[in-house]
Amino acid sequence: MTRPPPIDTDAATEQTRRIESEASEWLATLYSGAANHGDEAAFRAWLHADPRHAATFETLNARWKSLDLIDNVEQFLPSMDERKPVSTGLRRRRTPRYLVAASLVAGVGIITVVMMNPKAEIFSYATPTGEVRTIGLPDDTQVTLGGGTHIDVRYTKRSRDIVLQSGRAYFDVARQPNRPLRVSTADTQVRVIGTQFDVRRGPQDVQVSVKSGLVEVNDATPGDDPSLPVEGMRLAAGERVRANLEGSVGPVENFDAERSFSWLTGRLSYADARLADIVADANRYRTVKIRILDAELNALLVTTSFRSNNSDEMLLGLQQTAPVVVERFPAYVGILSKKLDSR
Amino acid sequence: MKSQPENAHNVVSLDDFKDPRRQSQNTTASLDPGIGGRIGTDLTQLYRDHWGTLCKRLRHVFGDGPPEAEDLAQAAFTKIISLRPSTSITNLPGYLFRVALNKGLDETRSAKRARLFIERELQAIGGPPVEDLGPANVYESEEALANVQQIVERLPHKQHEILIRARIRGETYAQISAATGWSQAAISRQLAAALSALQTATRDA
Repeated sequence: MTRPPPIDTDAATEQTRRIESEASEWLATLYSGAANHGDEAAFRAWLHADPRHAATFETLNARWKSLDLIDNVEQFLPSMDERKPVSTGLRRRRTPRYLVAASLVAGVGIITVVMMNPKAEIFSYATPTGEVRTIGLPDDTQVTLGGGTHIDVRYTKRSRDIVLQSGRAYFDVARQPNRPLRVSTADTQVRVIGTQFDVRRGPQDVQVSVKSGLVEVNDATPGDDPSLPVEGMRLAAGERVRANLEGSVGPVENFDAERSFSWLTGRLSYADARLADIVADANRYRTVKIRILDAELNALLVTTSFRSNNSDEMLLGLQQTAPVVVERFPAYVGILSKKLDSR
Repeated sequence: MKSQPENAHNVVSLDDFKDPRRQSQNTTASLDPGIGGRIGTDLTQLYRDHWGTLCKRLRHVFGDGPPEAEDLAQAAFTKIISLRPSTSITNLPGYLFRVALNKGLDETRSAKRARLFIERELQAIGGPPVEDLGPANVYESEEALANVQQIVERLPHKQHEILIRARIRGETYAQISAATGWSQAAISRQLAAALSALQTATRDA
């Protein structure tokens, strides 16, 4: 093996410092609140110009992110209260606004946390990785949560609002014409007209599939009055739609209900689905996560079916039928492109 | 549903990173449900132990809100619930604060936009995919963290105030300028200097 040429230490150090300084400027600019599209494009160009730019920036970004782990980091901030004018007695809360209690519901795996405030009852339900659970909500709506799923349920006298914070949930909604039910996730909102449907929040989109009844899928605007009629896309049984995370809704598609809802009984099935979406779903049932290490594989279309607690079999099958290699790393399982010239 | 055997030995355990000198300050919470009633008791205890402090810290950062400290604290506890039952967390209060804080930051449009943009760009050039904040990044060590802490503490006052305002409160230059009276140009220089200091120590560590 030939030895690499000797490095000119001073020049290398000089260059390293220059790149680090550029990385600092870029991170500062991006978080300044004033970065425009031109800045973003220029940053992208800088990032791609040299692998050392990217490596340096990644390290800096990781350090930036880890700042929140500093002990008592907030000591470096003047307290918000110090700067605000003194509020009147009306805003002071003598009694705790939230009564927090934890209890067991439906056995191990779901915890209900009840928060009481004068205006609404809010329930949070979360399932651990790999657990599918069905819960009854106060209005008799049944929700089935997939693994690693979290919903917040907020019912008032006039509305029923559910936020899907992460994961996937199937709703069998109790019909209450005077109290519309809405499910929101990212910037998409589903308004329900007495029905059964499924909402999945994926890495870059939201998918709504209807089993029966009618739903309306909208771009969500905060503070909507639930009693106002809303212009939205209507979906009927057997229809499905995807929206990106900003709420733009795509075309209506038909889907195979048996395949799409099979997750309810512990099986994940896909036909020509993006590998990234399949991996995101599988990871909700795995402790050791799968990562797609070559970005071009995210959009690889795959047809597959596997038990949600046995995605390793899916990976074995994938190696045989797709141009990929699966490798185990200490903390995750990686999927890489199979290079043509590899052995 | 039990996990497959091959997952068990790869469960992220933070025991490797425990520093015996800090043992007594760490709060380790192991959420093994075991038999029926235990998890309920454990959770209630967790709430009792940590809710108050967590809300106080969040209120220091965000004031009366929005975002509201209690909402963020609630989200952090719910996240704990959604972890695998056998996950152990070193420094539970730190983890709770981290989850709550970053959720609060996501309600700041500009900070969220910057974060998402950077993550997408890094992912596009083949960086490791971004995950939810797990109990800790498996490659973060106590030593590295102590380094960062020292660096920040030793920064000139203006620099660490600006750095932390931007990172922890998600403040823009305009907001920092309005609160402190410093010019945006000066803020930009100071923030870049603070970030450079963070990197220099990386190299020398």
